[in-house]
Amino acid sequence: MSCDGNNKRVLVVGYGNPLRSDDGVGWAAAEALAGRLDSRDVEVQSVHQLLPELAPRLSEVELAILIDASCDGPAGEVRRRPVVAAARSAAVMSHGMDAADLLAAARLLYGRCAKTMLFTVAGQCFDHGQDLSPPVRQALGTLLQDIEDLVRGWLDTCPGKGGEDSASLTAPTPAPCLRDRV
Amino acid sequence: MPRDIVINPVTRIEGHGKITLRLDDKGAVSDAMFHVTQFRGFEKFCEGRPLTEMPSLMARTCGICPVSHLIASAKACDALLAVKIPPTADKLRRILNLAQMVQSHALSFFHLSSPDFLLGMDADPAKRNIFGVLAEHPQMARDGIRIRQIGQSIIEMLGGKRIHPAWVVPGGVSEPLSPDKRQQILAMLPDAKAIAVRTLQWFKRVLDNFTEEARAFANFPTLFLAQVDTDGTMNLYDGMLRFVDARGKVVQDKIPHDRYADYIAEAVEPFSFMKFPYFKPKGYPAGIYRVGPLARLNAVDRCGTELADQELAEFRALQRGAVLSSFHFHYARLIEILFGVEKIESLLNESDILSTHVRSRARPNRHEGIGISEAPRGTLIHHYKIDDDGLMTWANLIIATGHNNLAMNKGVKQAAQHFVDGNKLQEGMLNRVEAVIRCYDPCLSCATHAVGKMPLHIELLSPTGELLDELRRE
Repeated sequence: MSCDGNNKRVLVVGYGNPLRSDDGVGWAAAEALAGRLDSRDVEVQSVHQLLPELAPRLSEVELAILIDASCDGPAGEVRRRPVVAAARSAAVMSHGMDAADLLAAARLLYGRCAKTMLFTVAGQCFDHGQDLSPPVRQALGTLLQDIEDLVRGWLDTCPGKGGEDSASLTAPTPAPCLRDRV
Repeated sequence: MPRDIVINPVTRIEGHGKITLRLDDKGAVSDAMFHVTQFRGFEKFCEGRPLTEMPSLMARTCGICPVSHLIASAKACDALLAVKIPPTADKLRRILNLAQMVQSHALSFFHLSSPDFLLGMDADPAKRNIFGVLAEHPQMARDGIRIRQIGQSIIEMLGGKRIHPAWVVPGGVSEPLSPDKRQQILAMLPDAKAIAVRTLQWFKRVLDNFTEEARAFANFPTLFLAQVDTDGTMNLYDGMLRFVDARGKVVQDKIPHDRYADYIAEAVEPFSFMKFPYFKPKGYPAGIYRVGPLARLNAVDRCGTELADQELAEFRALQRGAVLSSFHFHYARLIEILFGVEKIESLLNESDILSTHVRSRARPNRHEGIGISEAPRGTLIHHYKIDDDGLMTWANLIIATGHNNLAMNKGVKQAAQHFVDGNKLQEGMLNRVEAVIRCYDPCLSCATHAVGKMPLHIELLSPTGELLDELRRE
């Protein structure tokens, strides 16, 4: 249980800038997932950047799902990869941290970090605006389903705290590591 | 023959700036400039917008201190409506402002500046960052995370979200405080107070390790500006403007908000997008003054809370008259964190804090309105003009960091002349030049899109552009 009395097992964090079109896909996904996942077990947050303040929660939950936009790949491509704690940034700033850095901070400061999966959606447009581009909007359905499957599978089959090896993180239901363009 | 050293970008600050050091024939620093290289243009593009949109628009000025802009803007709009906001709304806005102060000061002290204090100004720059702190001083890092988290949580509980909350509106606030949220906030405060107290105790113990920095980090006489109550008590939300001099004597007091322009004017320099405000009666640049935590502690008669007042007495023992070294911005920041926590607690215990009357409504009644509050970095001024339809025709923002522009430039020069040998650059000496800027915790923009890596590249060039020496931090 966290110091704030929160004992949820899964943390979903969508991050990016919702005023920069496709960079807001993390927020859009988080908002949709908040209505689809059981709030008794799953905490959903939308943030602009990954910041050190997330480290305590990442040390408390069993599973963390991070959702971000990506500049790489064809627009709408959904990718997923486990994140392993690694302090790599020489000049981490207040403006944001890398996911691996953040997990490293959680482990250094609080003794453990959650198994973590990063989902990214390749964006097409990062101009000012609050709308997602058509390919990203289309990819949202796949993204949400993948995350929902992963979280539900985790809650059904992995009671209690897991270890820290995100590399071994697999979805209980088959899920491709690299989605084709949708 | 003169040469220039350029530090670009300056690291561990909010936004983007660079420093140029000019060397004389012997390699000594003859001049220094702090350039702000970004242009925002908020004053211009709000023209034509309805005044009711201004608080939310102005909050976008900054991703680090949106609450400060929100509050100053809402106060300017209150003036345009010519309303007195309900007492409970006044208190709730104060709590929000204090929470912002706590989280912003914590960010500056723990995340941005503590690597210098904990690991040393000359430490390997690859380790002199927040990860170095996490590894070497985990309790300090946990404290920094926790107290910032508390400040942000209070903002989120009151405003609905941490960044750009829209809860502060012209005429008051949009929602009252619920009993449940009041309890939740009160429950976090003992933790915050304990962190503030132990960090202050620690910082006072290590101060002696930084006597040279305290001596050479923008340590010179200037005026200081802050907003205070009519009885001289610290007031971060409202009050009147007070200028004190380097001896700590009041030179101008009880300046009402609508008279600020009689005392503050702005100059421009070709090397920076940031204006150079100065104390008008003394002219430019003799009217140099500082704002922010150091200035506030120099200007007030008292903080008005028990523990912060004890700390203020000790702080004032550093120097007879005003405390002049900008290195002590850090110390002052910690005292203000403590003050903020104490004051939030006191406001939450006010009998009317749960009142549901939190908004006054009116149509525009004046064509001109001024809102002034104390932001973490200093006095923040929003000055608006509207037409008969309530549409913005003109805006002037004097941002806290701007007030310190003259002092930052002068401070960079002083530190560079003290620490930099232009014949052989060493990273530690340049870090000290940057650290002078960090004392002020300048917020040069919101920069919410920043990717989080600010490499440092310093080149020593001959007058013909020949590269004489170079330092690079990836």
